[in-house]
Amino acid sequence: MTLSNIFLETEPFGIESGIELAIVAFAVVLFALSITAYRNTRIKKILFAAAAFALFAVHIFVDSIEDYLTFLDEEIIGIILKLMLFAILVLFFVAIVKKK
Amino acid sequence: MNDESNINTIRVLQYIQENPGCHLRKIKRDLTMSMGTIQYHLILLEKQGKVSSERHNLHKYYFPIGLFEQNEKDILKILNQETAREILMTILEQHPTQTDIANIIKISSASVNWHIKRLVELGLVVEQKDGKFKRYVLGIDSKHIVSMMKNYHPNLWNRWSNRLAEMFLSLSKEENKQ
Repeated sequence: MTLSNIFLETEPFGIESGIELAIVAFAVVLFALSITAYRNTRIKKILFAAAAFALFAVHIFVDSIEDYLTFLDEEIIGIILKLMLFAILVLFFVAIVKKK
Repeated sequence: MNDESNINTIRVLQYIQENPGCHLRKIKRDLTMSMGTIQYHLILLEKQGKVSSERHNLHKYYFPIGLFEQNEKDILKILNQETAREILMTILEQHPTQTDIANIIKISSASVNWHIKRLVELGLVVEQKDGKFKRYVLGIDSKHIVSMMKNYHPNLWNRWSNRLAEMFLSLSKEENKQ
């Protein structure tokens, strides 16, 4: 299924979609802030946090279009989403414990 | 070049020497010259190797050659950071140790250490031994620092990104307290 089909079949814009969109937007803002912080300071650990914010945005996006990803098994999508959450936590952990 | 033009070039050069890190609009406002005239003199001074410029965000900032030993770009980055500015202000007012700075501006000593290291590398701050302590003083004329801080302000986005960086710095292992 192409991406355009996914959007065509999406239900009318509801509160849930609005909140999801706000979460993605906020994660993107945090990602951009982290990149600016990295460019100003060159502290590598900030890049891990930036990656975590980006992955979080991807996670929410994939979660919201899960029903339209018919070419993927539901169980596989579930595993991918859980792995993403795990990777986000790992990235934050590395950002905290990594030396400058 | 006629005498009047020569005098104006010298005025612009003197202004930049007294106000390192100034930008075009400020020079125009303070010297009450037209934008075109100032641009002409700035290009001339840059060609003569007497001033250098660094573009940052929307403005181009001018520096006298030699004062910062080609570290102008990094100095603008430093001035973009709230914490580094506060550290410079603290050093300007007293000769503090790293612990003093941490206590005054209420940040972690790891963060102070990281900022001080960068300021020393750029020659903005100099380390002085005082018994078993290390105190810090400004490495360049205080009026230059004050002038640059007046001319250059971090925007909201940079203030937020700086706070995010501070958060990660405070998570670092505390080292070199004194």
